[in-house]
Amino acid sequence: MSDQYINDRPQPDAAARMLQASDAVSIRVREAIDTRTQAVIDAWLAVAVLLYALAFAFSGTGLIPGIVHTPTDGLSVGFLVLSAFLAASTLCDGLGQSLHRAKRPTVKRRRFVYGLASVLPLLSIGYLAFFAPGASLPVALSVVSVAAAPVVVLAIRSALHAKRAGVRRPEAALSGVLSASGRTGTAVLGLWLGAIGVVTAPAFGLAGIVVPTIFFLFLFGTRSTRIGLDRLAEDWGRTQWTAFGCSYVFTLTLSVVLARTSWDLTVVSVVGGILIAAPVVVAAFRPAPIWEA
Amino acid sequence: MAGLHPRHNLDDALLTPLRFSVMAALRADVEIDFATLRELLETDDSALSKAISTLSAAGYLTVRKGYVGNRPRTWLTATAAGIAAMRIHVAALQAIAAGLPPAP
Repeated sequence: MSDQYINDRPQPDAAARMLQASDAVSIRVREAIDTRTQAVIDAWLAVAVLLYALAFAFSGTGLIPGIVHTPTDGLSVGFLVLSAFLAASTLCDGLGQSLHRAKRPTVKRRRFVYGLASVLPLLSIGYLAFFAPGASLPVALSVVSVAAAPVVVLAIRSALHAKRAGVRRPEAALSGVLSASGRTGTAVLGLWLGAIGVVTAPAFGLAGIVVPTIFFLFLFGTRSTRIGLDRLAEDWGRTQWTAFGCSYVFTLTLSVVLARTSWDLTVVSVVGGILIAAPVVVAAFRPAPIWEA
Repeated sequence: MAGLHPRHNLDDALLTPLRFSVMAALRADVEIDFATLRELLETDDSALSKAISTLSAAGYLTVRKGYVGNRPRTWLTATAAGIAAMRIHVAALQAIAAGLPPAP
């Protein structure tokens, strides 16, 4: 023992240093846990981008003659797909920002480049869906592959990196319902996405553009605020994320069905809207894990 | 232990910096494998093995052998007793660091 210890007991300076060392170790462990969370976020985002691009391709291009709807309807379907994707990316972004991991500039730059590499083909597929619905499906699917490739590569790299980190967090011992604002925010998100699904049917006219536009403005306007979706993501547990995943898939499926079916589109959109809203609204009132700080 | 100097609440099993750091790493509800812990604490196999043996004998951590793929891994988790002991020890260190005078 050094002279900082008397009778094997630490003196104030030594005690303070031990506490600092303990805090430093805790931070490093938390960063290792965050590596795994980041890998899950990247995997989820890769799937989200792939489904999003596929939905645009199948709902906006290579449409069967006779079932091509008016340009306004096509716009509504595009807005429906965009609503789900913007909600998903805002949630993932919020969860990513909540991590304690300090990203190095090179890592930040690499992630930006991967993101940019996906954005350009995604814009192309959006352009095809909105302005060239007659484009052939093989061409659209090629653009989908190009759009998904960078985020899939990023997800695989993150997964390999996380696999090397030998730190695991077991299931949380405690769980509890979300806070009042978390419950409200989650339920409103589900209802809003469901409403966007319902009004996408041609019978609802301009509402198919107005309702999602208000949603986009809400997403951008409330970003980083107490009621923003990015903050909501921090409170969510596996149940809420799974529910949102179901709603996301239902939303994209609805966009494809609305563009390619000859069924009664109003009935399809109402049923689709209910299916989109239900999982998230139910999950708003389900417990989420509580992790020790 | 009201009226006593906080040093009386220090835990002998946690007095060395390495053992204290091991419990600091494990206290946040995590499971860490041996190699990762060795790198996190910047120590060597021998010193870490000794620290783990002492803490395991005190009932402060559990050791579990497992596999990731074909590679054997040793996973370490803090027990409830270890977490409680760590809390008391940290509180005592905080009191000492704050310079609380010994009781008369």
